[in-house]
Amino acid sequence: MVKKLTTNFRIADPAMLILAVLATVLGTFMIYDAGFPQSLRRFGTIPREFLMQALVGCIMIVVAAVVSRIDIDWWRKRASIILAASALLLMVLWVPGMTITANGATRWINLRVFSLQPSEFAKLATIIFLAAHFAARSARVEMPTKIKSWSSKMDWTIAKRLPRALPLFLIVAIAVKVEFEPDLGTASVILAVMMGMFVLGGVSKRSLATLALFGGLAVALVVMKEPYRLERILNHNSRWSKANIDDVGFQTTRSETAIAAGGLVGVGPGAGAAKHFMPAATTDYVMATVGEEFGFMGSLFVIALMAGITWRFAALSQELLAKGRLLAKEPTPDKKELARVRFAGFFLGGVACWLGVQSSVNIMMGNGFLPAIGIPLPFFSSGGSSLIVLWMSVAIGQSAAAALNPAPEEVARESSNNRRRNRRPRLSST
Amino acid sequence: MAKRQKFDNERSRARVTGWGLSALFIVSGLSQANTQLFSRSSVLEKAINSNRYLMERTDTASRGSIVSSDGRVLARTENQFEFSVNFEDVPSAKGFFVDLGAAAGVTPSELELANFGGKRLYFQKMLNDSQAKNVERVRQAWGADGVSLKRKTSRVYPMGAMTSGLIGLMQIPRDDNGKPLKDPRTHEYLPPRGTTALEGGQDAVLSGSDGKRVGMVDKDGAFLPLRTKDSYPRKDGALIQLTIDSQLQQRASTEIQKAVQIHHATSGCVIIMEPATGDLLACAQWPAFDPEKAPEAADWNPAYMATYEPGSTFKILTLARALDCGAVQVGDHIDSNGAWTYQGSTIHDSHPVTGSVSQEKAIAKSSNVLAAHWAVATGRERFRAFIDDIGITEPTGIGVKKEFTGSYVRSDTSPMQLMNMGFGQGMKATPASLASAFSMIANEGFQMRPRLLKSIDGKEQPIRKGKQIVKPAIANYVLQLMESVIDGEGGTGSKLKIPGYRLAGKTGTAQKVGAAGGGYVANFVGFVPAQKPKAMILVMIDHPQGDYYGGSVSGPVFKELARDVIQHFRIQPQVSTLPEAGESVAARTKTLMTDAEAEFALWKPFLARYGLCQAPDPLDTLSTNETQPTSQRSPSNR
Repeated sequence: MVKKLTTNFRIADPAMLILAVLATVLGTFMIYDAGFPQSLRRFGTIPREFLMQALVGCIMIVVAAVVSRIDIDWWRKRASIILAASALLLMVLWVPGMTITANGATRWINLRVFSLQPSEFAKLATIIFLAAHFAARSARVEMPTKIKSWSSKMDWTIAKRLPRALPLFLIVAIAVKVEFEPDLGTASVILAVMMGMFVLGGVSKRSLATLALFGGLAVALVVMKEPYRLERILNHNSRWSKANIDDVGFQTTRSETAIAAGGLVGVGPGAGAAKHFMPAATTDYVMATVGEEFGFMGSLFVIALMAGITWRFAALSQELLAKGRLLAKEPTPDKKELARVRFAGFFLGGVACWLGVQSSVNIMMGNGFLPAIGIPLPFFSSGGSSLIVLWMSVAIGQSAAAALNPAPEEVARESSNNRRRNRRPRLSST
Repeated sequence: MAKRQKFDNERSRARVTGWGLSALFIVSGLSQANTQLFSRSSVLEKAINSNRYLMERTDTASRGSIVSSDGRVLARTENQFEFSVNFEDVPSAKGFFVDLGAAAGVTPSELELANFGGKRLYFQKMLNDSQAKNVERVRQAWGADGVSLKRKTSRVYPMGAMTSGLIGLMQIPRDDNGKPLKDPRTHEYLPPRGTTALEGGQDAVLSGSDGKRVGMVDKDGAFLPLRTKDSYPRKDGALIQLTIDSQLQQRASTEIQKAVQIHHATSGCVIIMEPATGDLLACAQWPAFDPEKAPEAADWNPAYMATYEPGSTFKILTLARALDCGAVQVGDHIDSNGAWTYQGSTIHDSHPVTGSVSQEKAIAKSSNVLAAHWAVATGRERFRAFIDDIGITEPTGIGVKKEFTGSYVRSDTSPMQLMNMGFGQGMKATPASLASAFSMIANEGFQMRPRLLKSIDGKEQPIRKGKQIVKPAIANYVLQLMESVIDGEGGTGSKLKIPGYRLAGKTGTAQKVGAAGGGYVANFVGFVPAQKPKAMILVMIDHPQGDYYGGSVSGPVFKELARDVIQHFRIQPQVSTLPEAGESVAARTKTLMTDAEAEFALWKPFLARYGLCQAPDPLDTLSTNETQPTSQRSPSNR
């Protein structure tokens, strides 16, 4: 049975898989817990989000088993197509009849039975695209020193640099599109992941500094665009004042109170109060219920769980990148294998950035450390698209981890495909 | 070399990313610990101070109403809301003042005038329930924290002074120096509690218990109650229905006031009781107070908060007891010269009844000597046991606060005390306990304890059965004797006849012993009608000036109320066949008249005048001898 599972679901890194399954199960439970009072009050049923999460969770584990068998290089080769498809999906949001608008934001494609959030897929597409980009770039760089020093002087001209910055423009374009939904949270996650991968991928410090400068300006612009964001950020310190407590400070103060009320061990499962009236009890502020009902112990467990998943991705990324360096140091590096390994490494690193940034920002938002930005907690906040993308990442992560082994995959697949043809003739089928 | 550098650079970058992610999680964990552990109390304090999120609300139970048996409200609680605006903390939009004004029933300009200068001013007004609801809606819609509503309850007594002695008062709890007490927790003045009469005695039942709701306030300010172990529902006070009939109570109240005022008496009270059930139909007193204007000290009801010597009215009980234990036989005569000396103690009739005195005559003319004889014949032990049995020496338990009990000096074993007690002196009783004792006569010797609470929250309170005090035949016999007080020749209550009805009664004029200035208590106890009485009426008037006899001071009150009782119970008129001269009451037979006969009896005098029928007997109750006593009958002495 176990063997069959391992053959079906290529478990290259069991720890990552176990943590992800644990997070999904606990997350589904928390969605039920946090969602039922309001659902019961409004619709008289168990929360729809819970059913959706459980269903998507089950489907995605099966899908992930299949996806994990796809070789990591398959994704690298199709990185541009994936980014284009993701951009196309985002553009569907401009088609008037096909979208769902909630709270003044058009973020979902209406597919009758369920809805799809293209910006979630954009995160994954960004990571795949940038990973592929850096994998290719690193593998390609072989310039004579002299020419390089000369060209580095030429680098000061923008015109020369612009084509190299094409990935930047593509990703920023996607982020801007997401921001105009409007969805600052997802947009900033995309940009943060991009920055993380730029650091990882070897973008020069000078470029990073320039980017940070422009990024700062962009953030200022984006914040100014919607006055409530500025208000939220400016009033974060005075969120308890009479003017803000029911206005911009509403979510943060309530979540903070709930978490404080939980104390060390919490008020007990199901006894939480915040979930009764917090508007985003099952999404952005699911930590309020975790913190209130299970206390600091429960919160710490969730933080550790998310850190653990992030750590698996980051550690695997480092191993793969190290392996890539070893490969590159060989006198005649197998460029194809090098690209494959480095893509896997960058992909895992990108996912680690994504999970790390999103989890920690969500947690800090919940406990009042940061103002409300609107970033969900991976695995725990309800959202079908988010869970699909998370499990896709886990599946691709598994196949990426598999790249650590000296890959006889092509041979293996070849042989397995032709197993029937190649086997020796038999008289009976025993 | 360059390649090597590049890849080393990459390794350090991977490390930077790793450290960055670790730092993010560490900061997450620390900030979580900060909110949840280190600065937990300050966050919670802020939350509690802001009155958001978790809130505790006291759900004030509303005090139960008191209604009469015929459904008239005697006491109820009304909610009022003290509406105040702190202009520093409300929106300054004109629309808000228009909305608020419309909700509170104030013109917006009035509100804006109060807002003049934007200083910290309060605008205060009392609002009713629906206005308060509207104001609350406006407050939420505009998020105006400066608008506050404070619930104030007031107790309303629609019958005012007519029931004040029975219903009682609510008072603010005070300490020994008369200073209002404060709640040690909230430092607010304690709400008034029921302190006297029923409000006091049934305070626990009426006030119910406050509930506590733990809940949250959502973005719109709506309160969402939570089902937690800390919240419990409020229990409203019970609705108490009394046995009191509002009509009779009103009449009783009017009549006793009239009598007390005409005779310049100190006080007076009247009790109407249904002998078969013990139900108190009316219990009125004068002086009375208006509870809504609440003079704090006037919480006194002589019906159960004063003890009187019952006086001559008690003779009927003495006789009943003497007959019941066989010490005296029915129809016994005793020779009397208006005074009796027994073991060195001498007593006198107040109006000497001489010759061979029958029991009928003794009751009708209220002979002290015979009553003393009966008491002495019964014996001290048996007589005292009887007094204890009929409940004079214990509270009646009708459910009011501070009920007094009657008493006699148990250590005094002189024959004088026994003789005195025979005619209702030397012992004290509350009118309420006497009413119950007398009612026994009308209920075939079976005593019913008085009942005031008919039902609590729709749950019928049981009839309070006492016990058989005397044999039914004896009770009926005594009742017949009492008829002669009103009906008979020279009875002390002969002015109290109501044409067409047979009434029974007994006057009493007790001299107040030891009381400052002496004085008398004029009593009357009567039964309407005399056969199978529907009601017992006890009238006690304390210290009347001038005329002080029970028959002439308290009697008229009885007579007026007897009419009301007749109306209340729709009692058919009936007449008695009067005894022949010398025939004892015991031998007398009675016939109940049919309606037609009663009708005929009514017309009899007219018919007789025109010679259409035999002239009516002058003593016929239908005659007008109430105002024109015939020469055959000497003016009655008591």
